[in-house]
Amino acid sequence: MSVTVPMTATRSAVDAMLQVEGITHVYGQGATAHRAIENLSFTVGPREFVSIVGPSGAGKTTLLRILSGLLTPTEGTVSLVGEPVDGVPEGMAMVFQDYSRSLLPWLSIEKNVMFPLTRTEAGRDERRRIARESLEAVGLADRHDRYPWQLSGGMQQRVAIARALAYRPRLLLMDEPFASVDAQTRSDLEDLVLSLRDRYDMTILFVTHDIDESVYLADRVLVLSRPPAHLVEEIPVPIPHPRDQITTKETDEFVDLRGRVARLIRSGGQPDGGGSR
Amino acid sequence: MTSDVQPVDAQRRLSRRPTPEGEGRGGRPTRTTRRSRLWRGVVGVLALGLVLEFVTRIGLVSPTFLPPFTTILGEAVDVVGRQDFQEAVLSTVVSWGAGLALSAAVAIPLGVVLGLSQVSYRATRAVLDLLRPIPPIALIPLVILVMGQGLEMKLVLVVFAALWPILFNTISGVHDVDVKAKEMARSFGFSRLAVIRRVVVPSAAPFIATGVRLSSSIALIVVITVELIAGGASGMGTFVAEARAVGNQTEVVYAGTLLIGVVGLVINLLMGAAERRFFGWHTTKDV
Ligand SMILES: Nc1ncnc2c1ncn2[C@@H]1O[C@H](COP(=O)(O)OP(=O)(O)O)[C@@H](O)[C@H]1O
Ligand SMILES: [Mg+2]
Repeated sequence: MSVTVPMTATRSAVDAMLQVEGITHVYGQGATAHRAIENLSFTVGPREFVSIVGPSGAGKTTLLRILSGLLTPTEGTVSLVGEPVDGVPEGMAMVFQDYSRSLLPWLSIEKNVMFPLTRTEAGRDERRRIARESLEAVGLADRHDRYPWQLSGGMQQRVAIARALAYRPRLLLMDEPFASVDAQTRSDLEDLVLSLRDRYDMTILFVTHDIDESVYLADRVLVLSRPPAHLVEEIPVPIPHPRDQITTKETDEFVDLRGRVARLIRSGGQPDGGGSR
Repeated sequence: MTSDVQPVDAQRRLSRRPTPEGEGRGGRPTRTTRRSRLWRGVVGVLALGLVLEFVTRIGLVSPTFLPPFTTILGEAVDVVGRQDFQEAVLSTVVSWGAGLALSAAVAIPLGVVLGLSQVSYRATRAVLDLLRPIPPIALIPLVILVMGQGLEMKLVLVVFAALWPILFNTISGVHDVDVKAKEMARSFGFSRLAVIRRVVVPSAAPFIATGVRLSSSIALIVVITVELIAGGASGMGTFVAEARAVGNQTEVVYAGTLLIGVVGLVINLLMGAAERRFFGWHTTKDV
């Protein structure tokens, strides 16, 4: 990786998967203008799992839309493996919060998973093979001929994950993907994502407003402030893998980290931790 | 992972239309109600036939104006066997089909463009609002003047009448496309044109299909009307008009009219069945 980065940069910036520099985004103009993001910079290394937590309305979705090339920021640059992002980059896939709306109801589960591949070189049989394999990875191989509306929310979200996997992304962006499934399903999906990260060798940027989730999944947690969003703090999570939904969450380390994140979010970016104001 | 496995049957029982899966479990109740509705329709028609038969047989109405129902039915069977009638049916159906296809070919692309772009919609709105209320029948003399009385004349009038449901359904179908679905496709690197082809058009297709079904009835009405009043064109309408003009063939007029009704019914049933067959997912998707 021949990315030219100043020697003073942090370790992860030297061979950065994703580099975000000085992003500011303003919606609208004049009196109705809304500053969603203010001078946000961070770096994500290869194979790293980074969580982004922040209060609702902080600008997390805005950030992901910028990273995925769907939205051009007012200021700042995004680079993927050293290449500036201009338009939708290859090798990046997104899993949206709104799973039911991101699946196409007229296509079967398998065809939904094959959908991003129709743009690629892969032939029909190859596409089907990849789709089957991705569905198998999320435990839905036997449902391939079903339609999205015949599945529960958790299963729909797994289809959306399988679709992203089929695209073989180097970087997977996830926008509050489990916000609207029940608690048990959520734990299952969290463990699924962790196992898929290893199996598919992906870098994952995971947006959530759930503090437990952010710590449980990540190698590093980025805490965003209230709007306009800027980086309050980066918290490394040195808890070893494999993690366990029950025992990991009982460790002092975990309890300590989730407390730190919670306090930072409550203070909303004010260093004195004084809640509102 | 078992907690998120919801009983699929419970979801399907709520679905109002057959699933595109074709297993038929979700579809069966609907199919039964449709069949019983068909039977009720048949019973209704038979009852009406009986009444008509009775009224004419007891001499309440002169057979010159209304022949007995069984006579009309017998005549209809004869008419179906006549070659000039078969040619008339073919001519009518071809005019209807070509007119509908042309309407779709014009209205769907136009509707997609107008649905996607607010600017173009606002720019054309005035013209559309001006054209739409013109009854197509009122254009018959004008179009005959310009184009004569052949197939082209029929087609122009059919397209002018049948364009609107397809156009406006396409526009609202395109408006209705979920921005999240479009964004999803874009996030996987599809170009704007590919997003239109792969997401916008398929998503709007059920609306477009409903528009085509509505337009299909309108197209048939216009074809028959034009044939009835603009003598030169050939078709079932012309057949009936001539039977009336040439001598007192009251039975033939009734038989022809009845058969026009039958053809219209068959076309409507086929269009409705095709719509349910291909776009069943639409009514079930948000259950
Ligand atoms: N297209 C838009 N136009 C104007 N304002 C927007 C738009 N999208 C989001 N916003 C505003 O930007 C802020 C951040 O939104 P969002 O990124 O969705 O936050 P989050 O995902 O953290 O909840 C919100 O106040 C929202 O109202
Ligand atoms: Mg959001």
